Amino acid sequence: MAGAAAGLTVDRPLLAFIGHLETAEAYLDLLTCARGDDLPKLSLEEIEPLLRVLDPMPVCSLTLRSIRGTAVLAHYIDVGLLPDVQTGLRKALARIRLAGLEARAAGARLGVLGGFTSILGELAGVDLGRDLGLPFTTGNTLAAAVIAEQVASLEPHLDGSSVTVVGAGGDVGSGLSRILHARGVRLLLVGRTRRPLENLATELKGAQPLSWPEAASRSKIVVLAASAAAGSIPLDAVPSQAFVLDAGHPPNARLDGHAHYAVAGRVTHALPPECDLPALLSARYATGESHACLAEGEVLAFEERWERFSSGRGRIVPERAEEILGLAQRHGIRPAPMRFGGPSD
Amino acid sequence: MNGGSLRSWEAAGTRADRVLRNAGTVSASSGQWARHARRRLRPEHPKFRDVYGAILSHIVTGEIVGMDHYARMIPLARSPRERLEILGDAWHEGRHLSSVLEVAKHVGVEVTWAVDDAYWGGVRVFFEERAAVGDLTGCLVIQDLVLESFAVALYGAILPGLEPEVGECVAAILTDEKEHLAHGAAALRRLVEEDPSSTAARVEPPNESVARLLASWLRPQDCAPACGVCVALQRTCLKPDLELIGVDLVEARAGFLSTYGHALRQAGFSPARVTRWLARLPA
Repeated sequence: MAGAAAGLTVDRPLLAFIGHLETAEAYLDLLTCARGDDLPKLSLEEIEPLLRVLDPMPVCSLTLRSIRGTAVLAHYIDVGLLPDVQTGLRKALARIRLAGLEARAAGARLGVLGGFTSILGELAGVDLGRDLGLPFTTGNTLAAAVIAEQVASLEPHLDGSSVTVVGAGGDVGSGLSRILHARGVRLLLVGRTRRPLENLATELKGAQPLSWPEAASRSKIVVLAASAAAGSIPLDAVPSQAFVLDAGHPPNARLDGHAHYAVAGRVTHALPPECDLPALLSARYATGESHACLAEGEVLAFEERWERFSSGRGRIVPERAEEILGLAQRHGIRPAPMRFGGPSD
Repeated sequence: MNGGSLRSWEAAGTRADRVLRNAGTVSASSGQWARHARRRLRPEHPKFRDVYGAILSHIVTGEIVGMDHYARMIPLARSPRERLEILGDAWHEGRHLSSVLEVAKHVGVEVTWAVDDAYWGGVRVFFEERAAVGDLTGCLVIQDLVLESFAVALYGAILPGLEPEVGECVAAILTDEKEHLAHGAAALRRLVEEDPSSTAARVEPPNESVARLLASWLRPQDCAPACGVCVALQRTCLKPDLELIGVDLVEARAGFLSTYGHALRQAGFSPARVTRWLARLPA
């Protein structure tokens, strides 16, 4: 359709990314870009109250291309969940469900639950896919696989010491721990609740649950993979020569909190995604990069596998991680290089 | 107005049938408002007559504006069938008006109307500009999309807190307005499919003027200048009093933006195009 080429109209998407931005400031930046520069600038005070009650809505489209010649159209549906604002679980789930309905109405064949949306669903035991008759993946298997590769790229610095995984009780954190354990890495497990850490330590011989201050001082590599508000994990106790890989969305630590800090869990595309609201990507990613969890949906769409590849906490295993990483590479999607010391987010 | 007919005969038939079926009655479309009742301003409350008088006056004014707009669009129609269809729309708004006047009488409140103030007056001026140059698409966007989105959002916001008798009336109107909106989005979709660029160009001016004016009107702050209804009733701004029936204006405004955005996407515009339009409205 001529209008689609001009960015006015859109064809049916195969994929729907359901997620949220990192902070209210990120929404302000996006709205400012979308609004154009001929109008007075909006302020946080103006938009915050509205963001809290605005229904989830499709925001823009992305065209995703594989090096094998396949192209997939995706919609980004924002649920408007501000990670730094307390939203009741019931209300948050209602928003995620509304976003799922938008995905289904748009004709998507697979949904990807990014950021807090997958975590909330897990907490409440909600199976959105079954409710809506549309498969959803969390993308966490590729996320864990990519972080594991990024940890592996630092192996020469590890020198036999342990890797600390913060958020090890969560889906990405536990999956990452399994992958690293299978590779013989010694692990220190950190999390908000003790029980999942103890269960994981029982499963992964030699892994040790510890408090954050204890673990922080004992590792040469720290991976942050917690569901936490932006910048809420202090890095004071982490030795200056240690590497901090922040895979949180929003980032768990302050970007300037440590000398060897880098954002992790991202992939780079041989053929960069194209977005008809370019500020959505350009404000948070280097060219051609995206979150690995979103890329998992992309890979599944390229493969025409309309399935909940990742779902449910604690089900990420090394074999599945290897499978999705291999598929990603087949389509020109690889772990992104990490930029230490210079925050890119 | 270029291109083909705005409305297919099939759609017109459906609408005409519905209008005839409902003629002379306002169907109480279930007690959905009662199930969600949140806060009621009871008739014995000292502010009941004042607040209900102002609310019903606003509804009366909005329905008059809708009726006048549809009536003004009739001569712009390019076929007898389209003319009949728009006549049905005007008649429909008139039926709403009649039912609101009747319910006001039943609950014992005086109503007024004010279509020439800074708000409705501004909407009407812009509408007339489009009508005067024969821009039926522009008129359709203003009435069937922007104003119907506004009506759906506001009727939906006040409904749960209304007294049963008024609630029944508003619930029935809301059902009709939702149909108007869906119908308007479908009509616009046909134009988008024929010529997306030209149709988008017709959406932009109403978005910049009418949608912006209405979104601004829904800000929680008291109206400045005061709206015509409150002036006519010699009362202070109605907005703070809406809390008495449980209305949160931030939610109502979000409802307007969501409803309007949804209608534009239903019309076939891309999410990014709609995001850009919505981002230009006052937050």
